[in-house]
Amino acid sequence: MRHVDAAYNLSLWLLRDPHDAEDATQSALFKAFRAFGRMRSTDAKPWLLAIVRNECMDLLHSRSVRTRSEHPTDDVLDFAEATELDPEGAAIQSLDAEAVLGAINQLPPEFREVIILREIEELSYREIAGVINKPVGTVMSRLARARTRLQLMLTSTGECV
Amino acid sequence: MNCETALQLIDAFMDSELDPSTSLEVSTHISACPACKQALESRQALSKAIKLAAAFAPAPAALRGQIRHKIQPRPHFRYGIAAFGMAAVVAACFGFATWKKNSDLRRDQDQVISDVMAHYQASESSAHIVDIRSKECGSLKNWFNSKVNWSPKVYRLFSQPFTMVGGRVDLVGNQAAPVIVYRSGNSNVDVFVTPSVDVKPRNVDAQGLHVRSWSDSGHDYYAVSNGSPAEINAVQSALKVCR
Repeated sequence: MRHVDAAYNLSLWLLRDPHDAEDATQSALFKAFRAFGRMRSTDAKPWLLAIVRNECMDLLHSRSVRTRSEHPTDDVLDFAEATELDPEGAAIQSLDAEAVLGAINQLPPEFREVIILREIEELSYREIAGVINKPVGTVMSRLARARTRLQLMLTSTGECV
Repeated sequence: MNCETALQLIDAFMDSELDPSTSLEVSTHISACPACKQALESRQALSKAIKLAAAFAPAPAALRGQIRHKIQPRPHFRYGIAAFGMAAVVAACFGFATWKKNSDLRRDQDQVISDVMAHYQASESSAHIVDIRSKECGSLKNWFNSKVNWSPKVYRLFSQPFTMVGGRVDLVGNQAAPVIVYRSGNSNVDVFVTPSVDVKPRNVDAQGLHVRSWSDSGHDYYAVSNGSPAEINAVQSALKVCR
């Protein structure tokens, strides 16, 4: 049960709503218990986080359908990236916790999840790839872009000074 | 290797995800290229900031309680019996967890000791000893108060030959911990302060480092140094008397 914290934290980061996060964690834990016999991975944490992550993404997707705003696809993200800085450009000015949390929360979910899984859950790229069901190369590029975005947000003027 | 390639690989390099030979190439490039070195340092600062910021997020222990409460069976729960079984399993796990608390405390202390040793070595090898340089208790304390979400005491060493160098913040366990750095002879002594879980005093001497941990007045302390054992023992007793 020691991964319950990680499961809840991931839900909270992805959904940004304590109530939804509880529901998602609860539902994911439930599925995890039922599927326990089919667990193939030797490490329970990435396996459980994958279930949690799918649960959250389903919820996010149904939310975005409700509000009629499409989830950003990788194509859209590629386009948005075109205007962003290289890692070398950004020297972070402000590292206070609130600004950092705010910046993480402004990331699209696809970027937020790789940041959380890497920086907070400390999963390897391969484990993250398993959780988000994408190739390791995608993990690497998303993580790089997510970090560049964060650096950009934390260096730009405005709410993150 | 040129800058473009190095920058593309910088995240995987930082995350230790490159194969050894590529990693070496990146490392060689970075040591010769100030711009890429700066980029790596920015990334590392960001990574550290995220970990520290996450430590400010609501405490998992509280959330665990909520979750446990939430996964109790409810009347409208579709999966009645299964949910009840699951709740029983969860309850059993928590019971077991409480029972195991003491051995966990010991294991946590081992984890903290290995954390502080790693932080000490990282700070020594990067020559980034302190985030803020200060010989003055009050200003260091104010600085810590702005960086961590609890209020540590700052101990000052009065007796020679120790001098206070300054402070930095490292992540210990899941929490941002103030680190007060003292200079003693030719070595630095890092004193990590964490909210108390009432650790039993423990001494560890390994990898050329000496660690002393003890609990006092609501804080746990972990002092680390690569100097002589006598030196760190002296630091520990000086810290105690110079409250």
